[in-house]
Amino acid sequence: MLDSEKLILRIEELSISYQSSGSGFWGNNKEIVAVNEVSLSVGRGETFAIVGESGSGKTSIAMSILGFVKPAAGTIEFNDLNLFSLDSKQLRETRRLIQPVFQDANSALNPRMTVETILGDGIAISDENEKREKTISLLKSVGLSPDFLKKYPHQLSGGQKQRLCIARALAPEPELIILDEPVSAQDLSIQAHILRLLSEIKKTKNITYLLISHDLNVVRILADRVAVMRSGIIVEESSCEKFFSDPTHPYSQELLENSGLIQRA
Amino acid sequence: MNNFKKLISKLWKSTSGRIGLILVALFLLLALGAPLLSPYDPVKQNLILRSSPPSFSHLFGTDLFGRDILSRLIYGARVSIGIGLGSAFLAVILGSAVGLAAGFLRGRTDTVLMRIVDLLLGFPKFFILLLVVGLGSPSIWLTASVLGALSWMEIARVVRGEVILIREMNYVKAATALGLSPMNIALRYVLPNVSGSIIVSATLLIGTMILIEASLSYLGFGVQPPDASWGTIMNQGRIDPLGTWWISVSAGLAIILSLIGFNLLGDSLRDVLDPRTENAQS
Repeated sequence: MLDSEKLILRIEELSISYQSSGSGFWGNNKEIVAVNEVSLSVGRGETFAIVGESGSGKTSIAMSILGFVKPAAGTIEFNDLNLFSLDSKQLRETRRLIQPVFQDANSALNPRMTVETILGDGIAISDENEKREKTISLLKSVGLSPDFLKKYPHQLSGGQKQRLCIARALAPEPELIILDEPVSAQDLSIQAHILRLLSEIKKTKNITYLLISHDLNVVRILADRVAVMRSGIIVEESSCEKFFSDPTHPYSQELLENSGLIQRA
Repeated sequence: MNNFKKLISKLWKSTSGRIGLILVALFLLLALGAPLLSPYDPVKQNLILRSSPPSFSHLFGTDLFGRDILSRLIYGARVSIGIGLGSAFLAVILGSAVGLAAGFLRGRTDTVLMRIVDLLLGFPKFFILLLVVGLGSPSIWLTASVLGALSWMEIARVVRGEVILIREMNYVKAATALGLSPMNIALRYVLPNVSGSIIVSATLLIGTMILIEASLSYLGFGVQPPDASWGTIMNQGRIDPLGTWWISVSAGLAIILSLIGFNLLGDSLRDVLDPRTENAQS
């Protein structure tokens, strides 16, 4: 297992459940367990992938790390800090170190803000000139030209929007980026560009990725370790190499077969 | 400014948008340019010409004191439309603030604010208006403030509903992850994205306000002489409705046309500004 000093994220026995308003006159509320006592650890600098079909609970885990979903039980430690015991000021500071990249770049960008404002909001510099320089260097780091500064999101293409989202995630100089299906909404050719960009960023900056995906092609390109989720439980956790060459759990084998990445004899 | 031009050209494309724009522009022009546009002094009495029917020199006839009705209507537009705009503006400020707070903060704040809205909606608006305006000394300012203070609840509801949708958007989540303060997020990320619905409800509300003010003035509780709103002018035709039919008819026409104008404009604005329609303004 991983050395505890090198851990950036430790999740222990995390359970998340949702209330669904039941049918019937009295609306008997049913509790749906999305995540059931999941434990996992992510080492600093690695790319940890959680794979599984939709509804397996992988996005719920991501949302609770980001603080948007309150778990029913369990703890999440980031840099040895329990995220649920921080006061609101500490939480806001810690949050800046954990940044999301969402699947749908359209709904992830404020339609009423220019590229410059969108990125500027993430930069903690008050000097206008320095801020602008940082904004331009952020744009360059994701392969966008400074000409985009005054544009609005609807003037960008899908791939450019996702690049902008990645640039925004990089703005507060985070330690952990949560990639929630980062390329699923893109064309195949753009997927390749974005994935290459993500690998490059990883190489140049000391960043940890938590990748949430159902696409095993993406996982194979980016991930170092893989956890397979099904119905709120992790059924298999192994290194990427081992997962793609010798999956142990029958569900992992099924996933691999369906993805067309390996042919079963 | 460029956005404003684009908006006008989009409104111009539909028939109802065109009619709405023309009517609203016409009434605003009449109200602003009243001294230049009115053919006679609206308060000058001419006892020889008392109650004379429409003619070439007095297009809408004269009233019981021989005053030119067209001129009185043009000056009345200042009062009627002024009260409509003023009270709608007040309602928008109050309604947006309450709706934004309730929808963004949710929880107990939401419950308390929305129960207050329910409570106020349960009050008979017209009765309270009569009571307050009747007890105080009636004036343009009092009428506009009371109207605004009693009409913000519908806007609060609309804004709250939109805010609840917007705050679940990923860009709001991303802003939260960037550590921005809730106030910053509410004012810069949420409010600009509900401004379309606010503009639409405000435009529709102006028409309603004009109508309520006219009813109030018709009953004699609104604007007091020498000021005259369309409702006050209409009131004069009440004494002999068949003999001096032109008084009420022309005042009624002004009220109806302005209502049609603001309502058509509001409806077309909804079509143009609604993000769910295809060529919505972004």
